[in-house]
Amino acid sequence: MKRYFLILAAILTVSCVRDNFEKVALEGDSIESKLVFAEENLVDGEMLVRFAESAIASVEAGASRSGGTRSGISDFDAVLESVGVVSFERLFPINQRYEERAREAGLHLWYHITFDGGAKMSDVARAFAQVGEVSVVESVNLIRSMAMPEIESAEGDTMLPMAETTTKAIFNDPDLHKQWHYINNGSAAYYSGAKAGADVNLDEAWPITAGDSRIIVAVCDDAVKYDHPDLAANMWVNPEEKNGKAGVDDDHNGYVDDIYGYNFCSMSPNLNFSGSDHGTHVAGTVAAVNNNGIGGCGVAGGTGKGDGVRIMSCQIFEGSKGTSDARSAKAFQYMADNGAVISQNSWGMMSKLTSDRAYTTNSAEFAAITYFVKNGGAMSGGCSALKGGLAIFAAGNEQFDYAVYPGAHRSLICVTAMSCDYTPAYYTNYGPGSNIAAPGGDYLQSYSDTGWSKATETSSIYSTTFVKGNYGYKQGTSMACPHVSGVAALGLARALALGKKYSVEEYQSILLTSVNDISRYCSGKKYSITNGGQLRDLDLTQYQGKMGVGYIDAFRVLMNVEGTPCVPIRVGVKQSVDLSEVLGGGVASLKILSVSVSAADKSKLKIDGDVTISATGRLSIKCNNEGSAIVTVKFVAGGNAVGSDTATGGMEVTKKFAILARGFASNGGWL
Amino acid sequence: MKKIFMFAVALLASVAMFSSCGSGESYSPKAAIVGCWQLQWSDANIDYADVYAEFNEDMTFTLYQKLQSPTFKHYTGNYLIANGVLSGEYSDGKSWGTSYNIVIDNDVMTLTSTTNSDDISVFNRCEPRSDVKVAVASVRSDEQDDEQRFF
Repeated sequence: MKRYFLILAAILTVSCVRDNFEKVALEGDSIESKLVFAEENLVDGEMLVRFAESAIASVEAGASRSGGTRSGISDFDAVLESVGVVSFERLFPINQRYEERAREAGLHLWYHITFDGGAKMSDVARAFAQVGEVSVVESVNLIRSMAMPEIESAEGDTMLPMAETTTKAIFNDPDLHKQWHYINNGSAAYYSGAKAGADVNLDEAWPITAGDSRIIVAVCDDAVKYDHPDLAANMWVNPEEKNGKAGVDDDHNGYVDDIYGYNFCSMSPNLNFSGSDHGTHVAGTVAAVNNNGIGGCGVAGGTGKGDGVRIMSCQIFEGSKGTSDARSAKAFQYMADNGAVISQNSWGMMSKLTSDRAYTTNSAEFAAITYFVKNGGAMSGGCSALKGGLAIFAAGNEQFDYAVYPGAHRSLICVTAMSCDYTPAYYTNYGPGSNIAAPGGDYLQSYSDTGWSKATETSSIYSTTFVKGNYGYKQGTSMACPHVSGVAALGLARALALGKKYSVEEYQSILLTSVNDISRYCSGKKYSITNGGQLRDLDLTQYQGKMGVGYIDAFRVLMNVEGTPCVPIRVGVKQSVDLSEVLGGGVASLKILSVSVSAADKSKLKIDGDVTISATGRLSIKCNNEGSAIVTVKFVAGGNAVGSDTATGGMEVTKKFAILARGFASNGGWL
Repeated sequence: MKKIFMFAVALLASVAMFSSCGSGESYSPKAAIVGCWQLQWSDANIDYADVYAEFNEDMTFTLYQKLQSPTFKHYTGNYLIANGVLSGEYSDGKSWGTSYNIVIDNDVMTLTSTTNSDDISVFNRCEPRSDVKVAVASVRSDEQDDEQRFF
């Protein structure tokens, strides 16, 4: 009989743990109030505790004395022994350079305990919570990659004739013509219903910029195959570790031999490829090397002159099985501390949550994401154009009418998937929590072209792989997400070139207004499949207004980085002005929260009545005086309500633009 | 006799004033306007207003403008000068927002709206620009309606 049983029996209380999927901290000054516990998708044999600030000094002393297996607090150590502790250590490793700010963020208070499994986890949680010095006990729960099942393609996948499909051979990569998601000329070789323009508009963006090696994108996923021929030149390399001594933390960042990133599953530098190339495929979309005469392209893969953005491999998955949110938490600290400016996350919680509070309350993972958002980028010597870190997430592939967390949180960008004909991908999650769409592929489309006789994937996303050859197709919001990460990286590359600097919120506002309308394509039907693999019809009208603000357009991002347009206003006449250039092509579907002009500007321009935005997204204004003013618009990016403590929702975005009132012509001409 | 002479001299002088003599002439708008012009404009709220116009001898004009935006809008049309007033119409049939009292003094053209004396645009004569012609906006046609952009 295990030793712990007697002690736990004494501690058991009558109240019941909420065996539902929300990790909820209950009100009140009781043991229950310390518990952030979810039974569903639990990781057995692991627990996180957060110590009170007042107790941490003695915990650190105790851990130090005991060589890291005990806290020095007798009640606590009794529980450790009773559960058969295997390890007891600080969750977030010490990075000497940034320890002060990690402590300010409270990261030093979190400890990760592993122990012999077998006890009822809720009892173990309660046992820890009984200890006075403990302020939070959080269960470790599973997160899942948004990888979709591999498709057994027909032998000899449809080879697209180069001449037929290439729009513009901007780069010499031979497979660019397969990548409709970058430049789509509507060729039937992708899918009979493919439409020109259903892409991220790189034929217009790439002539302006294709990347910048000062930008580091952390791919938080499976390990990225750093020696892949079409990725190697764009991998981030930690120079001190690469040139340092094996077995030594040469740069004192708390990690040993982290040359290309780190394996947070095994807590070792050995990136482990476990037969899953999902992370490698995602990385290729961000920054496969461009113009190197092999393979395909990456959104921000450069121009062939070593100017691609850099990929940092933060391995939190080993293959397709789930992983723990303790690992992802560590990864966010690591990417902030080591110069990443963008965090690319094609994964989410296994369990369903329905409010921001349910996700964030006393969550170590959210504390780490917050730390990254605050301290990434310029704040840690990374890309100087962003004063913090930008975290992008995928919405999920279960056809749910809600996005999964963390992406669904109101402060984080969450990406839905679009097909090569602008329609929502059959599998994509949508609805509350979703903010923006991007190409994710839809293999049912090209499959249907063969009369369902051969699965082909030309309507999916083409990128770098290693399991079956160096290149291949995948589909998923997993693939849509790195399109947004890559486009975000392109925008920052332009910002660097222009010397522009943004806060994270400002830059999110740019991304979320650099879109084209997708709602107009949410009509009619398309093919979908049931869980059992049966074909069924999918009614697309249910996606209207639920895919986010629109689908991202890299050229618009670059234009918005150059500057927000000034809208010309004819003086003396009531105007109804189209705002799609300022607020994005989906402006007619946006929920506008407020439109404001300062009292001083209203007086200066003698503005008659209110300044409003109509239901069709047109600015309504009458200026009786010449002059300029600033208009501030707040709107919801994704749905009709901003996410809150009580319900998942969109992101609140603020956009400012100038108006100039004078004798313009009715077509906007100066004269 | 003297009076007539003086009048004749005055007449001759005025004829000389209004006859065409190429660029640089300061007092004949119809002649002087022919050429290339760059708007001089500054405003605290607007990062830049780049407005460039070419007025041609055949009474046509071309206008490139970008207001705090990286892309130029391109307009063409016809213009007319009569009694010191510059007016015009765009090729799309829209008339100018207003007509302007025009004064060209050496290489500076001042246009004052005839309906609002606060609306003053000052242009400097400049060399022809080729950069504007390649930078014209190309926003995706699929998501834009055909309706006018602004009004």
